[in-house]
Amino acid sequence: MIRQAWLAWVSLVARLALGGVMLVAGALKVADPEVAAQAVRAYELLPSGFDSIVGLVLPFLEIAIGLLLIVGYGVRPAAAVAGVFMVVFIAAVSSAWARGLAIDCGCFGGGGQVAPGETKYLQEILRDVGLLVLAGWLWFSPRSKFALESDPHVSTGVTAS
Amino acid sequence: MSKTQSKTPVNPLLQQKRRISPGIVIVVLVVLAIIAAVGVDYWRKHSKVEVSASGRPEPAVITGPGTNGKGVTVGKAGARAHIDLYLDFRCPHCADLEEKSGPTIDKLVEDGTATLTYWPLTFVNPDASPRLANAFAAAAANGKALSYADGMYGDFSKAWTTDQLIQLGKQLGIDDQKFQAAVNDNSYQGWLDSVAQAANDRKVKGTPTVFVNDKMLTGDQLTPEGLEKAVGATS
Repeated sequence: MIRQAWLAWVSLVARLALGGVMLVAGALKVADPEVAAQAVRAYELLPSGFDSIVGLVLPFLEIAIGLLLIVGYGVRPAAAVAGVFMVVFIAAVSSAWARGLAIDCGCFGGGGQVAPGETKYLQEILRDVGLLVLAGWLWFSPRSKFALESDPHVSTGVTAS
Repeated sequence: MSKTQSKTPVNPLLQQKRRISPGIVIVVLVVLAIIAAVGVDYWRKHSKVEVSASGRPEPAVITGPGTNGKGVTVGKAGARAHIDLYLDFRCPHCADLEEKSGPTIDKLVEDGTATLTYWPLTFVNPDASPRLANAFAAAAANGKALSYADGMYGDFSKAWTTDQLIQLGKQLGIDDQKFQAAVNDNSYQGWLDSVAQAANDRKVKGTPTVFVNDKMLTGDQLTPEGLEKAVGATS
């Protein structure tokens, strides 16, 4: 039982860290869809037109996932979605790196071309890998302290605090 | 029928609790996110154009748009320095530059130190940049180059549909059919192509790119102090 309690605390930290980053990342981009669309366009991965849609919708999705994780509701599916996001982000940044583009990931607003010496691909990928690990942790251990919803596997509605 | 249904007391511990599954909540949130995004998109395309009176004087247009391979030059003829500004009206860094260094450039132009040549490029957003650059050209032809550029950069998150571009012209006092026709028909496209070609010939790799007296400034010179220094150093 002591081990269980310890896991719930780690899951709380994972929830707040992953959810906090998602929420901040979304909030910083949501106010300026034009900039967000250009950050997406800079990756040169999507056909014209789709970049605007992604730039418009992605920040709202990030905010929604971030909020779910922070309040602790639907932690497991939210963590799964966050994990998918991270895999996509890692793939996109890696591909930009491999193709020799010089862009900012635009993860927290901004984005677009930067001077060739000013890319931060490694840091961006490592950060996303770290967040992916948190998402994976929450998938396997969604039960946490101070969550709005109890352990998804227990149907009594008793909060796991 | 439901009214007469007798309520037998149930043991709450045995009662199957009706719980909304998190999966449904996530689907609802995704739908809400999409609705919010559509709402923002609608707002960007339909919000009113409001020109904040910047109080900046409008410099005279020396060379208007339409001469192939030549940008739009504003200022006082005979200024000792000239600034070339390669910009895209959908480039966020250009909007930053305009916000931070715009007043400095305006001052240099206003006091006759330098002329300013706009070279509007159209590559950042292939769906929108050409439309905005074309409208800028049409406004410049009406002597409103600086304030029209400021207006578009000043509300960068706006979509700047053709309607909004015409509204901006109206707010700046351009209210003639020719301007509207030029905006609607994209009539400066040929000139914009020639500007793009000229920028290419000059090895302009991105926006914003600034030349002072034909010398390209480095990224860290693109500050109010850096610009003043570059212009001053050429005297």
